[in-house]
Amino acid sequence: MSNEITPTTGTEQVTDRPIVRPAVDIFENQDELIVMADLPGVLGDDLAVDYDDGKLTILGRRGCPVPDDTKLVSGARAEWDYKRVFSVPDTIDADRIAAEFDMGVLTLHLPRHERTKPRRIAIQTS
Amino acid sequence: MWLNWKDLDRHFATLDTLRREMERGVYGQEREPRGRWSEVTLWDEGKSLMLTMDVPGVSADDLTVDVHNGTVTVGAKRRVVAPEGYATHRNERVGFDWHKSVTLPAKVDADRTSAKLHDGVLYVRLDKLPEAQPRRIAIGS
Repeated sequence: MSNEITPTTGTEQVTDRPIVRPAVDIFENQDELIVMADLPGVLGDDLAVDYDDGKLTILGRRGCPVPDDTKLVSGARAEWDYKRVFSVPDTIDADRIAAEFDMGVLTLHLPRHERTKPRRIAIQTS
Repeated sequence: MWLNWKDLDRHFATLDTLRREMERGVYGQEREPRGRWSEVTLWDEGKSLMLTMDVPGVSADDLTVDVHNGTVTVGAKRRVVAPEGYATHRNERVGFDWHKSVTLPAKVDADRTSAKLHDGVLYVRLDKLPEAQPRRIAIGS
């Protein structure tokens, strides 16, 4: 499946903040791929989508909603980073990748290059 | 031995497959995946209790918050379906329809409860009843 976006394998980073893999859906049609990721609690400013050399990185910072001077009853005082990295096939036009963020869900549109779209060749009859 | 364990295992595996096939026939493709509720974070701010839960992709119309008898119940549902005309490559996000009840550690005023939804997180503020609020006792000299 050469068209599919695949998660890159390899080195994991060590950071002082835990990294959480957000759940991701990937959909495809002839025109584009759509990547949707659940990133609840990430503010728009703390969300970055980077494309570099065929790698698409989604990184979102999630802060802790619990103020320091209050008493925690249940749950945890936790903050973390959401992170996923995908290899994107070169049939994707990286300049036209578009992103929207609504209700804690990130939606990325990855359009295909015009030249790689399937087309039907008209057959001329004499 | 009449029957060795491997054979027995295989028979049970066949039964299991059969059961799954039958269930698929009964429930069909309509069955929605039931995602588990997300973790509840509850903290005490003195005069009020605050509760948050992650509900990504859930609109306010699909959320309910009920306060009754010292219990707050949150209900949330969402459907995850491929957009029209798209094939699915990866499907990790699940649909859900759950209700989660939390027993509150103090009496709250149900009429003064407020909830807001922000970036996929539900925030509920539950004001405590006056008798449940902390107070400082003045020390007479």
